[in-house]
Amino acid sequence: MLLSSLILTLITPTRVRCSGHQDVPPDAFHESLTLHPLPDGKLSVLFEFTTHFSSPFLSSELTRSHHSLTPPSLLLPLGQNDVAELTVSFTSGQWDRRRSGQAGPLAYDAGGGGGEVRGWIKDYGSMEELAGSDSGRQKLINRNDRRRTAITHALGGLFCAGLGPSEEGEVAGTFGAIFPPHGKLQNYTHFFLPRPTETLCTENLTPFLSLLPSKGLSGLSSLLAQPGIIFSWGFKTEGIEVIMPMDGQQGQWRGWWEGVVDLIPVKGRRDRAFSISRLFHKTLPRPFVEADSSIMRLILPAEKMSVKPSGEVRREWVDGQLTEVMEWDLLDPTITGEDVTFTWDGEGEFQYPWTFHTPPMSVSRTATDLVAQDGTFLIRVENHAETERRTIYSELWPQWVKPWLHEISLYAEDESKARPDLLTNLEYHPAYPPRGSTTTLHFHLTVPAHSVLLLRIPFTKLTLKYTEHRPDAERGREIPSGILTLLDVVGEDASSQTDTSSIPVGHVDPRWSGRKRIYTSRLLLDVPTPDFSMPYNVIIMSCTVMAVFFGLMQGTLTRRVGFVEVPMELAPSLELKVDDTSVEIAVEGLKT
Amino acid sequence: MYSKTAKTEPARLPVFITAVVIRLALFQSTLISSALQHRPELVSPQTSFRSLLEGVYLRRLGYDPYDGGTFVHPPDYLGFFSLFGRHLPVIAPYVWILLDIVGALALVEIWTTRSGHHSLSKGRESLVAALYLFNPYTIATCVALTTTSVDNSLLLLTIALAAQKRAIPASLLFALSSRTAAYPICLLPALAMLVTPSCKGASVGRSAAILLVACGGSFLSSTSLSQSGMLCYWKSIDADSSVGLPFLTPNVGMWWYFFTEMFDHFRHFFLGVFQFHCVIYVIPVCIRLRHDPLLAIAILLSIFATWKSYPTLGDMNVPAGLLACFPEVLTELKHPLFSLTVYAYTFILLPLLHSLWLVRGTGNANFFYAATMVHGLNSSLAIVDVLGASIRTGAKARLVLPAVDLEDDKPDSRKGEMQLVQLLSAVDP
Repeated sequence: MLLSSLILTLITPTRVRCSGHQDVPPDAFHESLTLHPLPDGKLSVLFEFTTHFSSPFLSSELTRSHHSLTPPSLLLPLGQNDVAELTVSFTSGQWDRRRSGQAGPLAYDAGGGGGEVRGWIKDYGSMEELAGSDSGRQKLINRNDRRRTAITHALGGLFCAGLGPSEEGEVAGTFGAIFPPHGKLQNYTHFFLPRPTETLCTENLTPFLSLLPSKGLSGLSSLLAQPGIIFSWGFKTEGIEVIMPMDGQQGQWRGWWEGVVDLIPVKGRRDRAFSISRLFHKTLPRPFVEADSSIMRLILPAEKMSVKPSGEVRREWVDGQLTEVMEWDLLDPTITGEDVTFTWDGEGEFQYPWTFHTPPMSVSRTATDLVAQDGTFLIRVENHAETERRTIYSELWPQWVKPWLHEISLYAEDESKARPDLLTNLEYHPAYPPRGSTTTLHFHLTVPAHSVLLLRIPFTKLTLKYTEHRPDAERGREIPSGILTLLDVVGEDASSQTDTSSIPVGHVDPRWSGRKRIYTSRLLLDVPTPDFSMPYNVIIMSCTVMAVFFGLMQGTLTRRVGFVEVPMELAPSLELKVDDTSVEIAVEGLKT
Repeated sequence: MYSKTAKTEPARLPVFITAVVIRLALFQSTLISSALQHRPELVSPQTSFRSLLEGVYLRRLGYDPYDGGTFVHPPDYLGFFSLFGRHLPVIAPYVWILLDIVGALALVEIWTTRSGHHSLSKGRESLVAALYLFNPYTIATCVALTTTSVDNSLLLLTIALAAQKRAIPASLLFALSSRTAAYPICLLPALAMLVTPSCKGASVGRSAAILLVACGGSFLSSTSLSQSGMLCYWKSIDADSSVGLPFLTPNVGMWWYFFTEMFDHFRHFFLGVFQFHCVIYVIPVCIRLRHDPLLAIAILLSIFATWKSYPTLGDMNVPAGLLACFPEVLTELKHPLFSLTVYAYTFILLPLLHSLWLVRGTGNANFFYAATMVHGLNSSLAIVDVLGASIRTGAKARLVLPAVDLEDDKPDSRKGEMQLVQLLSAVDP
């Protein structure tokens, strides 16, 4: 009797809660694994975990938020600091554009090399508020800065990485057009902080897995939760993208993890054939119970592959190319625990291809003419497509790199004269050295079909103070990747397209791509370093010269100068005797 | 305003023509001119032609040139050189050669004013002009297209007008040259002494007041212009690197390595010490050399050239040229050969060790720093030498010998002879 009444009291509130908020859609979790064989014997593996969620405060009558599938450690700081959208990404390794045939990894939101934090945060203008500092004294700081600092600290703690700005003013606010918001936002400002010195390591993987509802224990995340295997791959990128719920819309947070595996074994036969168990040392895992969908996809390459057991084949646009994609539903209990093998038809030993198809659009950056403190950035934008592309090329530099705008030149590679007409607009946001801040440049470029553009930006590196150098100053300092934004891509959703069945598989149309941005690699710049062992010696020597000068000057200025009469006997003197015919010069007094 | 009616002296014209020809020939060689434009010994962030072009370009685009940190020239230069617009790189060599000639003419005018218009002095005019125009540092500074040449010419014009006792034109030009560089304002007492005529009613204070009013007026007028957005003068003061030393670019001065190696805690203190050290000599030198304010100006300019925040080799051009106007001081120098030899030595070592540090990478910063120390120490010793020589010259000029009876030509009627000594007790002026 007592027990049943207790059970009744426990159940009733839940019923009331469910009935009161029936219009709130439940949280949904989707995961997918995409395998994309690359032409040079490598395989790109992309894990994606997407959670759709409503505002955590809606599904509970209590004032506290209720999280079932969503991580409170991620969403609560974002909600408290009025962040509408956030993207954090870590990238390590270099994506080889030429050999892979793709302009970048399949995770389109992965940033350039190193770490990157960007997002949309509510703009409080120049409102200031009191904030307690470490010493206990409160001081007025800008509200925007305070919220940004709170976010980067929370995220840094979450990802075991230093994600905050290393010096004041390092966060750039001019990239709003490059990273537009997904929804309609008013009074929100964009912030962008690249950290090119960050690397990706196990400390970043473990918190990533703990953010997932499956926690690396079941579903596809169990394949990912093997750092010994994952971190032996070449190029790796990890990241999250959070879109907070707004205006009744559901929010979405998405985590991705992509790596590039070399399929050719080190020893033995050069055979590209692979299977899930060879890749992950596990068979297909049991699905995560709360997952709404769990999909494995294989992007079929141009060469014929045979897959056992095979899945459903569909045609999709992948990064501007119409390809066939084979899909498996991993929630199907018949495939759980099975191993899937992939072989290339009729291929015994793998032969590395002699030629590679370069992607339709690519960009690369180097520094040339490096002399002492000067240099020139040389940016190559290649367009192999049939159509002209409108792009924005953006650069972000720390305050010690100063560009010379009047010496910027734009050439087409096969022509000798400059093409300033291809630069339709230039936005320049200078830094304020020596205060910490960044210089950003946005070039609005029009790249003609079948052309290569060369953009030359001469620059000078400032000499840094003793305390501004890194501990290993001779290594140099990295500057973040340049970003080429493609303005005319429409996405891969082909439902708006009338008829895809007539287009042959393999047809390339660069507009049907979800890749809006292509990144260059980071650059390591040599900074002129002083001798770090010398502070005492320099002060001593410079002050010695100053003291010598001061002493001599003071002596000269303050001593009296006068004439004394010296008796003739003691001093040799020159006497001039003028005669009629000759001039005699007698020297007296030299006998002593 | 100073009228450039150059008397067609047959001795001066060949000097000017040769100087122009040499400069034009060096400008034709793009290798030499571009190499010199990038030398840190000749070019500092405040005087670089590259940043002048950048500032003019940014202004044409509509940006504020002082925002980026590439442009720290004074707004007067920004306004003046913006007039040339796109053609500035082409016209600049001719402007710089013209400014050098103007400076040389001003120097000749100083010499003639000082020495009176004797026939002896006319022969020396070409020598004075030649010593200024053929000074290798002057030629190098001109070919490097640094604004040091512009500053030097303005300074020489100011001094020439002051030497001619023309107070109002001198004060206007003084206001201009103190706006374009930070340190000439410290020449105010010396210029006031120079410009004061020696008649009874004039006083140094009155001249100083005129100069001060001119400077104050020019600053106020430029701030009112900045309200209307024409000249961003207050921004340029904020960006002005002379006082706050925001850039640590290597140069031939004593400051850059000192402040590179310094911890932030002491930065403000030592900035104050170095600036104070630079200006502390103004009053004592002016008091000690009040018999010859032009010499005081020359010595103060050489002190600034050695101890200012961003010196270049071209800053010594004006003091070296002015010294040519004092032959009596030059004979009293104790070690002129030593100073000249060490100048030649550092002339070779400074670019060599700089490239060893930054271009080849086989040396480190200490090599260049040591050469800078040698250059600074040598300049300091030379300044002290010149100061000592000028004091001795002044004492000799004031010496009044007892009257000698000319009819009595017995050779040893004099009791003894006069020797110039320096006493160890403090002076009582």
